[in-house]
Amino acid sequence: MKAFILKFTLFVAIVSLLTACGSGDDNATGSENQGGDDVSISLMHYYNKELGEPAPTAQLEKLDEFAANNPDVTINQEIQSHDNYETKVKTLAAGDELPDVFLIKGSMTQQFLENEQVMNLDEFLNENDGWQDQFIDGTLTPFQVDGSAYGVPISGGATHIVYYNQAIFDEVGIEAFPATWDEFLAAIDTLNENDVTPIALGNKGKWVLNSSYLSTLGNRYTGDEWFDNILANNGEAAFTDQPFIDALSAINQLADRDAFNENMNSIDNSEQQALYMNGKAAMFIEGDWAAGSISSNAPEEVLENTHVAIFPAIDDAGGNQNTVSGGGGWAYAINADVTGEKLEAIKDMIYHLTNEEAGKLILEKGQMPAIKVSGTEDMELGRLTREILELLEDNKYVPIYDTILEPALIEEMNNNMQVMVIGQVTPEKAAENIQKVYSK
Amino acid sequence: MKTKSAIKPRNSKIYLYLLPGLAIYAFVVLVPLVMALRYSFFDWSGGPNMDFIGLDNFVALIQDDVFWQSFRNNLFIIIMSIIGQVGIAFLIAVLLTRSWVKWKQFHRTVIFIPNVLAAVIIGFLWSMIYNHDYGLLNYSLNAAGLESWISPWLDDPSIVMASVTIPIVWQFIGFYLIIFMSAMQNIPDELYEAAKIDGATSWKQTWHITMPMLKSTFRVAIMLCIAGNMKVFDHIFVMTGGGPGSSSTVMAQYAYDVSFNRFELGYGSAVSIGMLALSLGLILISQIIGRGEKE
Repeated sequence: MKAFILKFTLFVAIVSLLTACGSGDDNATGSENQGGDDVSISLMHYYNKELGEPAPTAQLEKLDEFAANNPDVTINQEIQSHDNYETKVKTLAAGDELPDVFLIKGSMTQQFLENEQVMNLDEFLNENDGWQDQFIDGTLTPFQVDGSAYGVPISGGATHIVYYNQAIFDEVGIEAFPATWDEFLAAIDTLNENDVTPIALGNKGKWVLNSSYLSTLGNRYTGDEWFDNILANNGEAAFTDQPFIDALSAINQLADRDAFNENMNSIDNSEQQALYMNGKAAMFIEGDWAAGSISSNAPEEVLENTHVAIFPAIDDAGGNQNTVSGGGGWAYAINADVTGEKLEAIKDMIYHLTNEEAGKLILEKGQMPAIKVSGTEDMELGRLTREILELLEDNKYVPIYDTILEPALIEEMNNNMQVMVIGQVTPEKAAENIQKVYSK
Repeated sequence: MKTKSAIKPRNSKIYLYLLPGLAIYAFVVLVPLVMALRYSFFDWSGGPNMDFIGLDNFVALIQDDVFWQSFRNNLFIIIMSIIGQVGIAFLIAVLLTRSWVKWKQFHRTVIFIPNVLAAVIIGFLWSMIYNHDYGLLNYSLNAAGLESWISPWLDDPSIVMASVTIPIVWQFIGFYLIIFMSAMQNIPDELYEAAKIDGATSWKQTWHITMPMLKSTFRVAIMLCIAGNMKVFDHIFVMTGGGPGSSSTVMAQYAYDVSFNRFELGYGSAVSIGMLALSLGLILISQIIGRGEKE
């Protein structure tokens, strides 16, 4: 009997231990921390020192700096890999267990706001003189709902940059990057005739065609108003409108001319860079972040000959032609439950991470910050970074579809484009499918 | 009294010993299952806002083409696995009982090795093999002069399901091989001896003794095959992510996409519940067929 009691107590102990684990972090997001001198902030991000990516490295350095200047503030960082981060933040949101400060994408803003999990930042953005106006046009937009901002963007570069290898162009007799869409198509034919893959594409992750191709082409054809109408859902715009179908057709045109490598749907974006860096492809199209990995990983002879451009102007398209999809990628959001002294500390921290000084550091590391940086002429920048900076000066940012539109819609777009480029659906049918999800 | 109870403990004691295991099982399987069932009646994107919408999610599910396409993909994998995994494993098991086969231990170990590898590793390994430009498969075809056979194995919707099924079949042959080999050891030698005296060839022995004696093992293997392949996810997630489009999407992948890409957690739960119902249905059917044969 004694043995039985012993076993039973042991069992009860184990069970209570198990259940304790389940409910352990109930007050992880609590705001009870007011009053005391020491403030501790929980922050979740995906910055990884080892990867050496420009903006994240800059943010980490700024975080260290802030911690050193404010010894009474403890920052508890939770670090995830980039891919896991998105799942993790959504899962925490579902369980209502978000940390004090976290990163959001534009498309998450609406949903987090509906659940009252993010704080309105309008006041905060106006607290520091002229800070709000320093952000580059279009970088705050993805994080605004009904004119109010819910996120402070960090980097704000373009998601569409054409990286091309001038040496390969020279070899096949293309003197300069094509100035019109027709010349661009002709260049693709020339490259194909010379057995070079014109554009390396790795669309396994499904977002490349959307972020780096369609967002720019879409605006070129439809203009700004159409997208505003789509967002407002006022019935004045549909994905079956001819201009949007034309944008899809433009991508389809590229696919029809064998502009891409055959296995585009089973390799990812780092593999498309690899194809380019190995000299097997004349171009690849990705965001400005790719400049960093090209600069550090490409062999000398490829790097030397790499230049940047954007899609040339399209003659029969209705929108502005000097546009690039871009703007805020990720932004800091504050948990709606945070108050008092902790909130003040958080505001200081976010300001420190996103002000012009921080922007300068991001630029120095090789990425485009969301904030305007003055005096770039005197800064020491990598050649590609400077080229991109100059390229973007003349062009206007237009919305990146997949950071703003609803996730279900994006998924439908992405899936349809993946099968469109291998000839399984026509642009018209793809547009119809997208519209079906949109009007649901 | 005491010694007797140690050999045959009271029922209450049996339950007590089972309780820790049951508690963990309930915590990680049963509780989430009940919660998923509850969520499936809501329009829920995470967070505190939940709208009760009754059976709307299930009505949408029944009309959802992608869901049924992913179910067909699961069925394809199951059928190929029953033929491939169970069939090939049985043939190899029979071969390994033949006296002329050398190095039996070695073969058994090598065939079993893929089984202990993580599905993600298998996925990466095979996406390298399938790679269009420097993959082993296309390289070998090229070297063998079969250039016309070279394909983008994971990019063509008409062959992608076959491409992703092969690694799954390959990985688990060893598992069924072990099951069959241990079952075969339980067949009494007398039967074979009697057959030999009657002059039965070894393939006749296999057909008339081994097969019938392994009937119940086959039933278990097929059930494991169905249950295992209804929840297959990792291999395909790594190799294609369900693409191109949704042509290699299986039900688990679809539930994941709906829940964590589109963030429709209510509908995602409904997909999971639909998956559970279809799995149970299939297992029931396979059991009924198996039982029917017995009579």
